[in-house]
Amino acid sequence: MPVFDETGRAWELGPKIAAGGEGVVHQLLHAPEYCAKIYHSTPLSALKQAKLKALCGLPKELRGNLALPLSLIFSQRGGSQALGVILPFIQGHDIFELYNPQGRREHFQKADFAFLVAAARNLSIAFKVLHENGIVMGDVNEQNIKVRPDATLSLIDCDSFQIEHHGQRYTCNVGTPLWTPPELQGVSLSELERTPNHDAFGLAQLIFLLLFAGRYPFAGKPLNSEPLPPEAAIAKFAFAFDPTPKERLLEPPPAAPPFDSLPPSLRNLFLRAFRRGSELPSARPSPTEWITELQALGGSLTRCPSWPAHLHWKGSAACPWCGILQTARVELFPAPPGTPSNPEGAPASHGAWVDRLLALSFEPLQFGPPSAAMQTAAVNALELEVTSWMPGFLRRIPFVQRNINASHLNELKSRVSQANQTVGSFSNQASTLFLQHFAQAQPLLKSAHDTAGKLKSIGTPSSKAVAQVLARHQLRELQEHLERQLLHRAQVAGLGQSRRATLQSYQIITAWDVTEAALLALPGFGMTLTRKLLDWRKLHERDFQLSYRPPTAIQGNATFTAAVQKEADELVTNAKRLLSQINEVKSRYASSFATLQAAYHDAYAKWTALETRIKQLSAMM
Amino acid sequence: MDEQIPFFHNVQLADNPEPRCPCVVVLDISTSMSGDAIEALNRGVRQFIQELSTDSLASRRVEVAIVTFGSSVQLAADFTSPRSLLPPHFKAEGATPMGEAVVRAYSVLQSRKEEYRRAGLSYFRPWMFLLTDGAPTDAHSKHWKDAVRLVHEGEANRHLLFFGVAVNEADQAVLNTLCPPKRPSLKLKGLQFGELFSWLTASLKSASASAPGSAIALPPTNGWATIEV
Repeated sequence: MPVFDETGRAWELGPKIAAGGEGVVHQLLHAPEYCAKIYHSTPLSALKQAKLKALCGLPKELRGNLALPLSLIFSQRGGSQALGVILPFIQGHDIFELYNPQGRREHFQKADFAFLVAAARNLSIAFKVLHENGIVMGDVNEQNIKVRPDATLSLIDCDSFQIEHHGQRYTCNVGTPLWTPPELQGVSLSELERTPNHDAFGLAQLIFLLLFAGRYPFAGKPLNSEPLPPEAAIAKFAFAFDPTPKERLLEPPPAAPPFDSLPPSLRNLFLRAFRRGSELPSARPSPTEWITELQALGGSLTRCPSWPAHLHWKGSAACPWCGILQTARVELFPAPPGTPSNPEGAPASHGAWVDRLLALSFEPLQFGPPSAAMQTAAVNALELEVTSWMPGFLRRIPFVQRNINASHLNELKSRVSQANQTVGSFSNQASTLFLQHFAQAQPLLKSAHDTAGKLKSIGTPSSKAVAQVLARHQLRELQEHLERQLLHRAQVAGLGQSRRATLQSYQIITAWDVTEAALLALPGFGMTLTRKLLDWRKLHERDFQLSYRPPTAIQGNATFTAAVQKEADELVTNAKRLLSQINEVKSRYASSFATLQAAYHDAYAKWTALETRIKQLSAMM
Repeated sequence: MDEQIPFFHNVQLADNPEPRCPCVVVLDISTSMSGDAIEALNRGVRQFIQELSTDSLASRRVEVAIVTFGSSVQLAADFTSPRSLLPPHFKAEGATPMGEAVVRAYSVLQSRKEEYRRAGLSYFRPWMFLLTDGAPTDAHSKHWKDAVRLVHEGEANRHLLFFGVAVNEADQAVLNTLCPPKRPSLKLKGLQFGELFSWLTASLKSASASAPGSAIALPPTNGWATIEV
């Protein structure tokens, strides 16, 4: 269906790409850089239309940061009642996909901590521009900011922003509790004047999420048994990371980065944004203040010595990401695929390898949704099925059309169950695929755990190196003890002067020299005497065992140090090998899974298309 | 022996700090559901999980558990993200121990909430969604009394959102004694489980993204529920 912009130019609406409470967003055919939002409740109110018109007229310089509408659209050339607007089509992912660790692994694989700092700074810049132009975003939330792969971003859903135009204020009438500042919780937002200080709450919360591994500032361990839902925690200013709160309601959640892993000046901004008092006019940090501090943070990052993919503030007492790896066994910043996990020359402590090995896991992959384009294509294919063979003039006769539709509907209904079963069958295929690869990964994982255990016990009595050193020490002490036991003083029955002389001439002088092989080689020593002499030696060995005390301190011992180093080197080599073998299995699994997922998407799109089409046709009957 | 025990048994909790919206689905799979009904239910559940998985925000916030009642009360799926839930295939057999199922579902919900608390995750008001085509066979047991008390208390303290849906010949009068007075049971049109679960998905999406305004705006039920008589 063609729609017309304010200049009278015609646009052809393409497939639907998103649907929201207020309207539906369509692609525009032959204009991939634009899209169109068509509102559900048309005609629009005069106020809404005036606001949209005002948004279209905002300075062009804002377009770098805001997805402002370009023109109203009408159902006919020169119309007066708008259906919707033309918008720039914004590439990128919702900002929550960046701060959420799972989402980041899916959509921003190369994003390290420096990337997050850069995105936070770009976000602050967008808000600075917004506020300098007298605009308040109002409904700041996780779904109306799109981040691009280069950490730049755009604020979208501008039709809800609060703007002033020719002396008229158009308010923002919406908000979501999770993102509403304490002073507005429970307040009716309709017709309410929003201030930059309100936006500053949402901005601070987004920056917090970006810098603190997706942790919400108002989520923590409740100190009493009553649960504290997010809105209630916000209303009570219960900032879980506040080191010295007036009244502590929440403790910081476990396995979160410590608050002091960021510079004091940044911490101070968060306290100003979230503590009681922040609700006072202009109390929260302005975008400019954030820009300054984030700029400084970006310039004072350091790489963790034990894992180069870990970037953190250089003043932090420890690497926060290693800390989370240790407590929760979660790697928040895996090395991006294709880069060596631990470049040569980068020193890695044993401890780092232990954590890395223990964090290894082999999890089943899950099917993601098929793309909107794929779904649209499947629906289009179904629509074509019914119309392709019949000449257009026949199809346009209502009676013919209804009949075609009815028979088509029956046919589609007969196919839908099969299509659904096909989709269902992919669960089994996916499990089989996972189990096949898991069987290969499992021995490697076990080996990784064993290696981690050995690395952990390096230098303790249960380690191989220490056991070797101790055994060597004991043998040496035994030798010294036995060498002090002289044969000529021995009281052994049947050992006369001549035999003693024989022993001496064969250099068998102390108990250490008394061995079965040595005695049997002597002339005239029978089995009985040999046994008696060996028993004499055993007597002294037993004396030694009873009195032997292993050394208490062997750390300084050079042999010990060398043995430990050798064992550590062997284990680390083994760890590297295991890591790369497991990664190999993982990438084989991932590529087989991708093939299966493509087939699944196809089946899924076909099935949902059938369901959609059945609904459409049923509605027309 | 000296191996330390990791704090997070469930890595999902540490890896995804989004606030959670737990939803336990309690399904009647007694003998009376056999035939078309159980097949339609199986399809509906699979579609529900798939639709939830395809929403990027909801799939990180909503967690689903499934409790079934028939021959016995079973935890068919413990709380997990819809993306990692493989819906089992249900077979219809046995009686209708609805009270026991609700008590079980409530306890599964309680332990998940405890896990959220320990992990320092906040959560939205939990949902319990019950589907039945009969009347409880344990209506005179302690289970049933407990079930009614748990649902009514949970609703009154705003710790629970309970929805009861009657399928086919379900005894709606008895079901309504379980449902909170302000939200009596709804009757499913035919076997329109698809529409029903699409509604549930849309409602959970809106609850988990906490739609504008303080009250959760639920979509209209007229796609699947018959008009109250």
